Amino acid sequence: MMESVKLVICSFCSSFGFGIVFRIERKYLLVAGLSGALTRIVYLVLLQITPEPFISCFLAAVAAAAFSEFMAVSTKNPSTVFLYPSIVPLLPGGTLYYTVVGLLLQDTELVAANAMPCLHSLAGLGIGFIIISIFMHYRRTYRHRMKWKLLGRLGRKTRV
Amino acid sequence: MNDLNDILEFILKFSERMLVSGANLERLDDSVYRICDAYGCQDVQFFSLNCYVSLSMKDAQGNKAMGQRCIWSGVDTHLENLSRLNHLSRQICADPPAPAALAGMLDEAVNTKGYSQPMLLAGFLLAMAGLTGVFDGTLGDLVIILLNTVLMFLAGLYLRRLIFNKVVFNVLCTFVVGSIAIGAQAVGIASSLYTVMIVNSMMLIPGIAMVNSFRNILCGNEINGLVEFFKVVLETMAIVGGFILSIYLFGGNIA
Repeated sequence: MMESVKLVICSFCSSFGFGIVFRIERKYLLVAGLSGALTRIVYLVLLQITPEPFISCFLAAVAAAAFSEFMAVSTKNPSTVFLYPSIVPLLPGGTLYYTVVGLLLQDTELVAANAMPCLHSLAGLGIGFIIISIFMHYRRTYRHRMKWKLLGRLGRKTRV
Repeated sequence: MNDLNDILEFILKFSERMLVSGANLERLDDSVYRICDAYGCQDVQFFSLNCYVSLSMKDAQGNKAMGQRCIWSGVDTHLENLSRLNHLSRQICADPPAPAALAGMLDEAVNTKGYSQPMLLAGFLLAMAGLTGVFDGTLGDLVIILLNTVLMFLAGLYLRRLIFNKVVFNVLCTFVVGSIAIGAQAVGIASSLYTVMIVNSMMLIPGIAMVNSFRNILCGNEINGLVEFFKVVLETMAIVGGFILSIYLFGGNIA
């Protein structure tokens, strides 16, 4: 339990720090830290349910992206502002490192043991973020087109 | 015709600012088409890559304007500027100002005070300290990681002006960081090379560009996605290359 609390606090600090590095507005720094902590909590809870890194990373990424989109809509900012800092705690640094170490030492067992979990985590993260952002992208496009179609029916010249 | 040229000039500069601040292409496309709609521009054709934008459009009288812009400066993520540019585009769409006033509005939007360099360094140090905890580093590891962070920050400030190539810069940075980590492990300060190298590489690994490249590919911007993906792979290989070079030269217990 203490280990999990430590991880959540560390994730908050790293996301808060990267919030400054990415030069977020000061009033959103706390939100950046919280998004990192939230992502870590979801990831830790999912790890208790399934040891499969792909599923844990995928669902944690979905949670992070959904939170970012929610914040983006409520503050009228691009979702990128909240998404970037929340990614940081999920990056699979350890397995990536051991994969490279294995390649360096020509230790195929070390590569085999770490490369697949690393790829699974990266794929899970990427797909999780992308699913939400694509959904939002098509939702925006659809709403925009519907609006212009409606205005077109009312007699305005439009691009659509 | 002058109005159309003012709008064109504004949109090209606006696009450059958005991309340099870290906007993704879908967001930029969306903003540009909305601004063009707000001014009643017709036959709008906009094409964008992370390093290039081109736009052609017509006004109601059939006058045509076309322009392009190459963006050489690369992405320097600045989310406050991105936010302000987003607000500017919303403001323009809601109530389009006179085209001649657009240039002034753009300058005003990106004229942010932002964080000072010491504050940015503090951000890096906090982020690295947090990641040290995530990777279970010891106090000795933390000291070396923070020292390396300061060195990399200073290198980014001063050396980056001399070394334009990011690949060369990454190799040099990680070679120095790896060598310091190996030295610190040899004298017993750092206990794990693994932690020091992983945490410090987080400062350079283009994780966000990687996610954006996948996003571009899946959203229909395949050209940009593939170019960005190969750039990310090259930069990551450079980061690993610097570490490998230091390990080959100075040894060290890497596992």
